[in-house]
Parts: sequence; C-alpha cells; structure tokens
Amino acid sequence: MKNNSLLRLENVSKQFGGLHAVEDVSFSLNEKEILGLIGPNGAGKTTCFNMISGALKPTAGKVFFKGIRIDGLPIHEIASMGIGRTFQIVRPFYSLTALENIQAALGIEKYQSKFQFWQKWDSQNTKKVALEILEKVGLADFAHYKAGLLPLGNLRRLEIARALALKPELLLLDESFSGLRQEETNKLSELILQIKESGVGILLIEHNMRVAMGLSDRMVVLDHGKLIASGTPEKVKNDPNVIEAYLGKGEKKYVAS
Amino acid sequence: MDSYIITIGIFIAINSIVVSGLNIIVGYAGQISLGHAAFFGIGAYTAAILATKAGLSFWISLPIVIIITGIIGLLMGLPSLRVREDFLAITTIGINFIVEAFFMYVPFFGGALGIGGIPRIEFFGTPLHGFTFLLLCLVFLVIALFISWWFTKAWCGLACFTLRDDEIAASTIGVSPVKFKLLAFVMGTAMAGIGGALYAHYMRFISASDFGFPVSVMMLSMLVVGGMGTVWGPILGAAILGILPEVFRPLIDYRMLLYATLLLLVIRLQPGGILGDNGFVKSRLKAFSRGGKNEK
Repeated sequence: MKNNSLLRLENVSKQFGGLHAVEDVSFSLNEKEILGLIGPNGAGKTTCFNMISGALKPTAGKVFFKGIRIDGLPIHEIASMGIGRTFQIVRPFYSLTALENIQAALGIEKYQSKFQFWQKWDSQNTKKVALEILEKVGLADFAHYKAGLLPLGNLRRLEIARALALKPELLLLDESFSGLRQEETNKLSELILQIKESGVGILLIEHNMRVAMGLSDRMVVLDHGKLIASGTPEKVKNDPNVIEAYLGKGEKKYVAS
Repeated sequence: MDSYIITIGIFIAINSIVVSGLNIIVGYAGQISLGHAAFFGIGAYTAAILATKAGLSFWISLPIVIIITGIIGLLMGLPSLRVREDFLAITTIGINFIVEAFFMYVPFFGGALGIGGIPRIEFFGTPLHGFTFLLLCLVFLVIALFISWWFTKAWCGLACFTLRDDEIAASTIGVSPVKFKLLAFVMGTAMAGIGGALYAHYMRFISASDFGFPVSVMMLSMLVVGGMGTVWGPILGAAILGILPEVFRPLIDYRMLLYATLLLLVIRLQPGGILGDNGFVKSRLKAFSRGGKNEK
C-alpha cells in the first residue's frame, strides 16, 4: 500500500504564529487516482496544497512523492520532479502568448541544466509539442493571443496545459472550477478525466460539491485544519462529521433520517 | 568626419552597450535597477587602474574587467532575491551611492581627483582615437546586441521573461528565481563593465561623479524611452537622449526638465517605449505587413 502511493502526507502540521492552519494531517494519493480535497472556507486546503507544491514548509510532519521526501524543497525542484500545479487565482505569464506560455514550461529540464539553457527555445519542435498540448485543452485557436487577453475559463485551461507541459505524474488543481459557467465546467470535467486516463494522479481542491463528488475517486475532508473524514464520495457525503462541518449541528436529525 | 559628431556617436554607442546590459536586468528579467551607473563606474575604474597602475593593455584588461564587474554584479544581485519592485529600486539607488562614495573617498581610486592619464587603446600598435575608436565601439555594440538578441531566443531568456511576469508561477514550471535573476544581473553588469572600460579609455580621465545616481536615471530613461525588453530599444533610447541635449544645447540648464518631460510623455503615450509592444513603430509595421488588409 505504502509503496503504491504517489503522494503521501505523514502527520503534517503548519502553524502561522498561534494559528494551527493544518494540524496532524495524513493522507495519500495513489497512481491514476483523483483525490478530492474539500472542506469549508479556512479549513486549510490551500495551506495543505502549498506545502505539497513547496510554497510553504510544514512546521512538522513529512511529505513524500514517489517515496522521496519533498517537504522544504524549493518550488522549482519539486516541479522538476514531476508535480504540476495550477492556481486558485490564475497566474499565467501575461506578456507571453498562450503558445509561449506552454513553450516556457517545456523548458523544465533545460532550466535545471548547467549550460543547456543557452540553447534556442523557439524551435519548430517545441512549437509543435506546445500546439499539441494546447489542442488537447481546446485552446489551439488562441495560440497566438497574449495570455493577458484571454477570458478566465481559457486561462484556467491554459494553466492546466502549462502544468501538463511539465509531463507531470501528479497534478495539483486548486479550485479550477471557481467562476466558470456550466458549460465551461462540463468541458473542464471531461478534460480532467482525460488527464487521469492518461495516467496522471490528480489532487483536486474544490468548492463546488457536485463537481468534486462527480470527479473524485476518493475524498478527504478538512475542517479547522484537521482531517475529519476520508473515503469514497458516497461515504464522505453521509459522514455526520462532514455534514456538521458544512451545515452545523442543528440539522442533524433531519439529515440522519 | 566632424570630430564633434564622432564624439557624440561614441557616447551613444557606449551608452547603447551599457543600456543593453540594463535592459537584460530590467527589461528581460523585470528587476528594476536604479544603480546601473555603479557598474559602468566599476568597469571604468577597473580598466583605468589596470591601465595606469598595472600597465596592462586594454585587450588584456578587458576580460578582467568583465569578470570583476560580473562578480560584483552577482553580489549586488543578491538583494533582488529578497526585495522587489520599489524596494529593489531604493536598494539599487543605495548601491549606486555607496559605490560612488567608495571611488570618491578611497585614495587608491584617486579620491576626488579621479584617475587621469589613461592611455589610448592600441590596435596592433596604432592608437585608436576619433573615427577608429568609434568603429571599435560599434564592434562592441554589435557584440552586445547579438548577446542581447540571443538572450531573447535562449531558454534562459524565456526563463527571465516568466520571472518578470510572475515569479511564483515561474517557479512552478521549474525556473529557479535565484539562478536566472543572478544570471541576468551578471550579464547586465558585465555589459556595463565593457561600456565603462571603453569610456575610461576614451575620456582618459575619470572621476567618481561620472558614475553618480543621475547617470543611472539617465540610463533608465534611455531604456524606457526606447522600449524595455526590446533588443533595439536601448540604441534608440541612447540615440534620442544623446542627440536631444546637443540639439537643445542653449537650454543646457533645463536638461533635467527636458528628460523628465520626455519620460512623462513616453509613459503617457507609449507606455511600452517607442519600440515596445504597443508603441507606434510596431503598430505601423504591423499595419504595413498586413498590406492594408482589415484586421480580423
């Protein structure tokens, strides 16, 4: 079991001064699995996420990726190990075109090298690969638009495409569905399932319950920094702790019936 | 050719080289620097000392100048890893004042008297001056332009562009902010060093005030006017701000006012610089290349 897991958090905690944002959280994500990470506002989802991607260092506990300890490593090293991520508030490279955004991500190995970063980036080959990735997410028509000109739905796809260009084994999606229209949501769900089929493990932070339940193979629920439930969406949905966290105690007798 | 025009040409060429270096730091990597004249000065002083005290020729001292300014540029790039935007601007201003004071008050650097008697550059025994010196400057300018152009085509340049747009997002695609910011600083300051060495050997006398804060401001103005992040912007900027004061020589007392007005006009009307993305040169070129066809 342990050897199979792509990502494993062991008793991870994060304190900001006196505030326990995340307390003693452990969970794991298997290969080719979508794990939904949910919880009410302020539950510590994004903090968890940032500790995996390297933006924050846990105050205690360990994070393993493919059995290698990654907590505390700089972001760019974690990225080059095969973890791609998107942002809740999109962060494309605004002054570059959509195509260049993807090409930039294709350079991941060159950036780590000693001298190869002097090579030319704008080759026919990178252009072709980048276009293929854009096609996969349905943005090929916008390849030569500056990222700053694209609407939000497309930017979210662009971020996913940029993360895919890293050829990740693990994809971290931070609320990729927020602010999207219904048809955009449907298209994005399809895309995420396709990505999973291609053999990538996905950690999904999501506020939209319907989407999260529909997509996830398993879910973990955080509340006030603590892990309160985990398991299949069905199980989590009926867990009294989860219902309490979202709806409060007073509703218990109606829901339980 | 008229030696007056040659002199202006030489200053424009040297400034173009130095501003190309600034462009790599500010335009490509997005790290604002208001202390670039310090590195211009470090290059000039290194060349001057190597020539007057060690008696080395320009050609032997040039690699040493490049290495020394590059290393000091690396050290001065370190603050950029911790502070950004306005705070980085203020820090670089501080660096400029410290370096200037160093040249001014350390006797080894000639103190307030500066360093004089710097020999001319010799090329196979012939001393270069006037037109031949201009040619030499142009050769170095071509090299600087080539490096600047290659940088936009190489992965390291692309890495710098992503850092300029969003440092955190850049890290998530594997770009190390430390590595590429420092690379930009080293390259940019080394180019300033080359410009400084040429300046020292042309003027044959240098003093600390040649490399003060106003010079840094002028260099940044040249970059902003010409177009940040473009390969040719530094040359256009250096040419405009090099020629205008000569044209308006009767108004010499108001030179700063002229710079300020020009800078404000550019920021208001051509925010990306004259050669920048939304500048009128590019939009004219686009309209021309479309051949009058309507936009989609």
